[in-house]
Amino acid sequence: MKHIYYILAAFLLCSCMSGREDLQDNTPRGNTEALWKIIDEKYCFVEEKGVDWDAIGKEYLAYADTIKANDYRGLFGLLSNMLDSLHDGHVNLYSSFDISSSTNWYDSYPTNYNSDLIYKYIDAKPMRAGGLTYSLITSVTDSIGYIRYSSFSNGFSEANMYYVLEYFRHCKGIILDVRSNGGGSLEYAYQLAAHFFREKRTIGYWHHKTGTGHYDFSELKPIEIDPANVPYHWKKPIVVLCNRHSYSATNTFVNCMRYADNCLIVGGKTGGGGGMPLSYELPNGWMVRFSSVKMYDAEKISIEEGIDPDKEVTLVSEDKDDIIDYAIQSLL
Amino acid sequence: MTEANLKNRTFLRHINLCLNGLWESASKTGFGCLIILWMLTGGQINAQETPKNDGWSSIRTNTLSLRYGGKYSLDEYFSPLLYGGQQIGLKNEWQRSFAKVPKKEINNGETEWISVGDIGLTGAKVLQSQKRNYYYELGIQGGWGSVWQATTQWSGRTHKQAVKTCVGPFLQADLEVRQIGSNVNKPYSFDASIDAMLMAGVAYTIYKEQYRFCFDYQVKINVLGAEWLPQFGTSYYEVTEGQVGQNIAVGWWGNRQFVQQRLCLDIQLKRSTWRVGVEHEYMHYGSDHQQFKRQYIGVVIGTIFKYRIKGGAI
Repeated sequence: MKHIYYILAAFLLCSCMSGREDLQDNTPRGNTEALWKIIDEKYCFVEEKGVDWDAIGKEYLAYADTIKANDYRGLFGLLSNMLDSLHDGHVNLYSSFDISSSTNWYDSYPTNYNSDLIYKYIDAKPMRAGGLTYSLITSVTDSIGYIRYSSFSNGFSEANMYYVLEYFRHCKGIILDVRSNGGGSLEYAYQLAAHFFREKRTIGYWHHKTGTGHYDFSELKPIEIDPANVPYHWKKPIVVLCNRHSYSATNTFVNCMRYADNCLIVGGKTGGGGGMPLSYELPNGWMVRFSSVKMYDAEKISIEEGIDPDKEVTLVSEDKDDIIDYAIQSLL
Repeated sequence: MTEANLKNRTFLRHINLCLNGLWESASKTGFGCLIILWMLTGGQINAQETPKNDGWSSIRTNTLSLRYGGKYSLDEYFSPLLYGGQQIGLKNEWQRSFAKVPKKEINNGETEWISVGDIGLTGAKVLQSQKRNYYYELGIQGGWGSVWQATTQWSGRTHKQAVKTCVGPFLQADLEVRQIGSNVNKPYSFDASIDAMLMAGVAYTIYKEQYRFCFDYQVKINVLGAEWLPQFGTSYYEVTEGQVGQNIAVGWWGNRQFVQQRLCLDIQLKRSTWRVGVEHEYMHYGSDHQQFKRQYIGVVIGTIFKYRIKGGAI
């Protein structure tokens, strides 16, 4: 029986091989340190944002020491302010009671969008196909189609696109309005853009972080768009409308459309958000979202800060949409 | 309605009532799990008998076991926090002699090569230490190996005893898919590996009239293999875009530790054999910037049955 005791002892010894590996303590200071470290090591735009992240860390750690252990709202406010210094809409802090979001990346830009004005140009009851709303522009004799895509989180199918484009088959051109579209699925962005390409093209590049250093990135890999495998391709002119709130996946979509055939980008500069977001957790369980994959256009210029339109038009009138007006004129 | 149909309906009704009752008890108590196991394997237990070696058939030993215990997971692709919870699983292990003509009795000091294999399924839910997030985990594990086994027997004053030791290679595939409750752009993560493992075991058996008690310890340790190891900032999109190759790494004991061990007591009571025991699994691998770890400790309750396969050779 002595052998059995030895075996049991060995078994129990092996069972105790590991313990907890939490990175920091669940204290205001520990959580602040953890957040600083996550951004420092995993966020891909630390250098591009032009902030002194070390100095910010020291400043906020000093504040963290003044916060009481049970003041979770105070801690949330502190950490949110720390993240706001990055001016990035993809950097958010999620807790059970609030979500932080930076607004300083669009505050100084014109809105360039009023949903009420759109109905002066289209049917009162436009048609819907998946996440797409579409109608003919009613104010012009020569027919022009109008498609509104308000969120890339709302899906659509190839069949939806076929019927929309088939409906506009006899139009001179279409207006694709992605103003104030805050993004969503990147796959829908590529899927939609593919309908306006006649041949395969490289529309950009991306690479991800491979280490904790600010410049540790993988090799650039091209992003290519294949024409959609559908019976009908749009070959006539198209105008894409965008504004500063065209963000994230919409920013990527606008970048794609820069390389599409017969396409004109009109409106305001897009919001950017050209980094693909990931998320991670703090010791207290809050989740932090940040970008870790950098995206570039076909000239290898980062699209994080937004894309300038081909023609910048600002919405200044109160009773008409100057941007749609310009789009109509350019299609006629 | 014929009498046979009536009997069948009554039988099905009883089964249905049993299952309903079992479902309730199984969801609340561990004892329910034991009953389900009996339902699954009862047929074989009653039917089993010690196979007779008539020289042309091979004896295969199967162990079907239910496993339940606690685990924790560390998956830094998702989070630096530990997630802990409970895991339940079902495993089937088998072993069979390589000998074309099985010997009627293994003599003292004799050795033989035997084929061993297993396949198991696990399911778990683990919670973040702050209970704000969770993973669902679904695992499948299977492998095959051949071990060299030596038997030593002796007779004590009251009963016969034997010690069997074994050692050999074991090729194991492991896949545990993880879905996180709340995340952005990374809904899934997984441990996936193929390992050449070293398997060793020792079993001490006491024979007493119609009873047999066997204390069985077995351990498997990885030696060399290939594993899925995502790069530091790889996004879910990049992985699904087909950039798979860059996320596969070679794992050996120096950069990856994978240990499985169990200590069981097999009790043969007349014609049925039961297994109770404890088991432990530990896996740790990763790069400088991203660590993955899981550990499980649980109990095993199972049944062992033997049957003959015609043809002898494997």
